[in-house]
Amino acid sequence: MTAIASRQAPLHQARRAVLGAVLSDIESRRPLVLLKAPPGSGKTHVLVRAAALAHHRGLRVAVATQTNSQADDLCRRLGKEFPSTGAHRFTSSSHDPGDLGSAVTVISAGRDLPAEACVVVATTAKWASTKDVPEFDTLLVDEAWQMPWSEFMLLAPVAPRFVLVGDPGQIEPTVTIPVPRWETSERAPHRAAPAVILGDASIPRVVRELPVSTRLPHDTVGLVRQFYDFPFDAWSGPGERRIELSTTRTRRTGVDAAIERLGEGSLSLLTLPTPAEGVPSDDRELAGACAEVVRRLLARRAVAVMGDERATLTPGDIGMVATHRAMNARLVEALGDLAGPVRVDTPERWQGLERKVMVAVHPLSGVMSPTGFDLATGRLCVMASRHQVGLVVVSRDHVGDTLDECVSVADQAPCAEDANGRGHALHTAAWRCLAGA
Amino acid sequence: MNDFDAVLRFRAYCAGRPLPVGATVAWGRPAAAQTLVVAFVRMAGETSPWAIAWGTPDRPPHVASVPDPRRADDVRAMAMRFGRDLLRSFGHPEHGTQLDVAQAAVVVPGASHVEMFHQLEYRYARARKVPDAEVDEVNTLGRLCGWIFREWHRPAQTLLVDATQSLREAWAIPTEDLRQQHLGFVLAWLTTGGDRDARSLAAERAEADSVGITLDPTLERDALEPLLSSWNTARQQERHDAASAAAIAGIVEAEVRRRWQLAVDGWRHLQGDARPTTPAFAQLAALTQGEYERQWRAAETARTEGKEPFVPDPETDRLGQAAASRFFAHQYAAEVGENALLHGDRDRVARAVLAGQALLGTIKGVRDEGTGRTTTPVWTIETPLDAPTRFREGSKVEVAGAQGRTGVLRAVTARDDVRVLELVITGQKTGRGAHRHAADPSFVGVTVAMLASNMAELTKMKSFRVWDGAGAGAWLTHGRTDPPHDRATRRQEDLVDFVEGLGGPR
Repeated sequence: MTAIASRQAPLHQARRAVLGAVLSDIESRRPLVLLKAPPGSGKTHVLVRAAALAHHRGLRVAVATQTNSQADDLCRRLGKEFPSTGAHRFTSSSHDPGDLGSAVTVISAGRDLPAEACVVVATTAKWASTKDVPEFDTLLVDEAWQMPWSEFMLLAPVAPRFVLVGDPGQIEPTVTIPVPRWETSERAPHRAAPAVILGDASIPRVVRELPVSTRLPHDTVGLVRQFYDFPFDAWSGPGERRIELSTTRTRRTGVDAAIERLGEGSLSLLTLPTPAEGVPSDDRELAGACAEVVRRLLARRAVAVMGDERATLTPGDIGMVATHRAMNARLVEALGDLAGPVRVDTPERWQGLERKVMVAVHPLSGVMSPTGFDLATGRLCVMASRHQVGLVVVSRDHVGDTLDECVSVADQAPCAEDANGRGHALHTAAWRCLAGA
Repeated sequence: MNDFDAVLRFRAYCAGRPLPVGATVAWGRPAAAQTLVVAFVRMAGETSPWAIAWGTPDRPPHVASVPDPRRADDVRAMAMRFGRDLLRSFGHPEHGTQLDVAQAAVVVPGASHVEMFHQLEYRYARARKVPDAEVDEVNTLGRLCGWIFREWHRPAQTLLVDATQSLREAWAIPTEDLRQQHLGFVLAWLTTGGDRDARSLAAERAEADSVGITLDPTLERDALEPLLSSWNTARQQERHDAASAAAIAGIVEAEVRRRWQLAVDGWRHLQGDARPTTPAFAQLAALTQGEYERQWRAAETARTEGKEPFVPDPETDRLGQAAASRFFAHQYAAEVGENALLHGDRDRVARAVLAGQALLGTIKGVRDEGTGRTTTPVWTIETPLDAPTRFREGSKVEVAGAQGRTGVLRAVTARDDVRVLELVITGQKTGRGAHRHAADPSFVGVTVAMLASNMAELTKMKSFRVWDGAGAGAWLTHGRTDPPHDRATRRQEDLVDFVEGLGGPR
């Protein structure tokens, strides 16, 4: 057995044990199971197997996702991996799910829902707006930490048993209205459904945790793990993933130095001086630096090494992320022809996606007085966990000083977690980790 | 602050005076007789009012105070004087006729005065330690104060007016946000003549006087504390210190009267604004009327009929269904309010465009892909590539200024420096009233703003459906009954291998 294989053997066993436990929960029809999954740990892998087993045992299974694209992807995977399951995609007639494969049936009317054992996939919104849903045996919820409790309540008629799967480190459900009235409610309608359940000890449930991230490089797991309240490991070992550059640099620039650091570790920080007059929210100079990182990676024919696998990077292997739409517009502008193949989006839209290399604009870059919104950890966690090989964080250089000088305000409701304080501590730790990388 | 607000504030700075925000105002211009202006002051660290001023803006206010706001009985008597007028103004079934919300307003100087309604709710909505004869009336006042406080937090409500906030929403004032939380400061900028320096100086002077519910600490320490001490000493000796009581009243009533007058000045400024009221106001006022009737007056009417309707907890909605239903109701109001206000106001649309919440583009092509009698108008629209947007393929949008004309972005592509959108019109395809048929070729060359099409009606439906706790999963979602049992017998096979076998050969 090689060193890599011997290191991965216990990880494989641990992951298999959790999958077995969840399947056993399905088999024994546990009323409520929560599965916490770190980024890239195979939650969809577990979900499709849970659905396949339940269907095989003659159960009617409903699956709720948070977006149509998540539902479409899940159906494709079910159809491909378990074609005999004969999954149904339940969606409105105005949505075109594309080619889901021959094993998946698309239905749009509630009266067409099958009466026998089946797996039916729809969005939470679709389940919530369908009248007289024939009762299912089990409801599996994908990306459950993105679903507010109020939306979850509308799923009461669907099934008596629930399996909630998701990533607790990601962005909390989007709230567009002031919510102080419900901050101290035990069933706060704006909070993530699993968070409400976990906050109420009287609710009988089983909690499982996936133990390994296959997506993230070894040293990135060290950074990302602090966002979670449970331990997990990296499938890849130290140095197994890296960027190798085929050409040597011809000039000494910060951008080249930043991408060269990806040969030694998965994290690299590129900082630009902070102008004395301040930084605009759509920082064109920073956007230009981000685009230059992409261009230099491609110009130097960067190769992504993932264990035995080696692949020259193409624009489609690279993604860009920034928290503000105005900044994303500047990134698109700076990329020019590369915009399109190189996906540029907000952390909210990156959830569930991955690329070999990511270029991220630090969420506090240009923010001289961080607010609770800026210090929320979900976006930072998402931005730091989309890459398989390397992450280049681009930022103005004031962030470390800004965090040192920042006094976070504990404005949470009585008995609630000091989210600002936690965010400040995690941002500081993450910055130090990046700065030391 | 987005780019629109930043630029406008900079322009206001250059002009040396506040500049209007928006082409319309979200202000219904209620008559003075239908407007109740209220202001409070309190002792530092205390939650009860020390003095209250209330009344219509065309007459001197009623003013009431107590010598010591820590004396609960005195405060209750003062609060009830105010309370009877408040109940009458709000049309309590036993005190007056139903309010026409579109024609009425309750104006306070600032946000801290609204908080006092919450304190009155805490103190009185469920009070029992009061003389039997007063319990009902005290509780009634507490419930109304609670509704006022909750309604004030509902987006797009039209009845309750924070004068400071309303002025700030209507005008760009060239100073820091923090200082604009002071009503006197804001009014000085708006009403002082002369250049920037003159206005700035007047605002700075106005800022020296506190306008929140808490008194100036120096005034309280140096002027009121000795009087209060003297009054309490006399009371302990079972004497009445009339002189101290009168002196205290003189100070706190002058303070509360000054705050009340500032709110009236704010009201006058809003009334005198030359801009028209937004066309959306009637829709938002109707929503507010519904909330007023269902969330407060219906329950009070039921109580007069001997029933005992539910009284919301002052702190939060403890029942999950109630919390979720109100959450959806507030979300619905926000969605309706946002879009309704945008449709009637080009400036607001421009602001939304800069924030990425709306997208401005030029129609380059119009065609009808329908067959037979079916019409499917499709617009090809070009927008600058660098314009921030959250719209993507599949996004549902509504055309600004043509409420109800909705569509779906079928394709979003980039070409050179433009973003090309294909918009399939799905709502108001054939035109209505002043609107042309969506396939009319004369749309080519027209600039349109696309707003995010909201799901307000769906959200409204959710606010009702969330009460339905009859489903099989209600044991978890609604706390009904016990959870279902596990199955007793369990198989011993290796389930992981078994499931992998279900996938068939690879």
